[in-house]
Amino acid sequence: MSIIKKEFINPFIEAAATVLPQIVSGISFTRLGLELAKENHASPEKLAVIILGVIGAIRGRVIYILDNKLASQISMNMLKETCVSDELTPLARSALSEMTNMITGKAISILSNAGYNADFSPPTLFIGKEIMIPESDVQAILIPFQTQFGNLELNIALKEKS
Amino acid sequence: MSERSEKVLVVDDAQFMRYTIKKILAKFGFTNIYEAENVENAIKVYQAETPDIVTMDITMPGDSGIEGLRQIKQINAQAKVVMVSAASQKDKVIEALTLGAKHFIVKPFTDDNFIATIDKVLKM
Repeated sequence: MSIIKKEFINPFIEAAATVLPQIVSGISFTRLGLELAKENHASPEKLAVIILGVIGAIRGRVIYILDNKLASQISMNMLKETCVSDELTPLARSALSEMTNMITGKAISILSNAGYNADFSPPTLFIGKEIMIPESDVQAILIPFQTQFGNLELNIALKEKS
Repeated sequence: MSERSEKVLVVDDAQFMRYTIKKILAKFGFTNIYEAENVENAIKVYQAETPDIVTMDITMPGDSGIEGLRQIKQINAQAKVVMVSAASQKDKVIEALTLGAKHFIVKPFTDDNFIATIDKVLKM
């Protein structure tokens, strides 16, 4: 199994740090480091999991994993609503997907400017417990962020097109 | 805020983005706002309503916004289309502008920046 290149990881960290404060006012977050993602890991907690495919000079996928509370707070903030609900409406789900679209779009733009001309698919969102994170033929890297509302993890598995 | 009569077509697969853009347009007085969630519907609405301006997402299931731009330009070479995208890869921007897009807005954007672009393009 190949290892993801460092230059494919940093644009996502930069993109998250740039985009999140723009769309979620008042959010404070800390990156907790980098770790290898566990294979076939399924959390017992209720999560929002959003997957985007990457194609072009770089191939693979990016997965955003959010605590349910954080997912509710982000969507509420993006919709400028004052009442937080644990159950996400279709519009709130769309807002959450759009957040990942913006972060991924920013990261892909950074990668493209660095010579890796890539594109990405629209996000697909799942909400529930015991969601199995799909395996990849590249060792996935986990980038955990801690916010005052809960945790966000980016699970990234990308490789250059052979 | 005075009412504005220009027709705007918002094309985006994301319900949230259509909601957000419509809200901004309404806040700045636009009343004739149409929406489509894909290129196929966008073409139908474009032909039926002949909007003054179109905001077009790029990354959508099915035909992309670039293809949507191409089809609208075939219907009306003078059409004013603003691309709205989360990504700003140089080749995408160049392709869109070459095909006749009037502007390229990168998400996330502020209400003021968005409406300034719409106003600018409408005056072209």
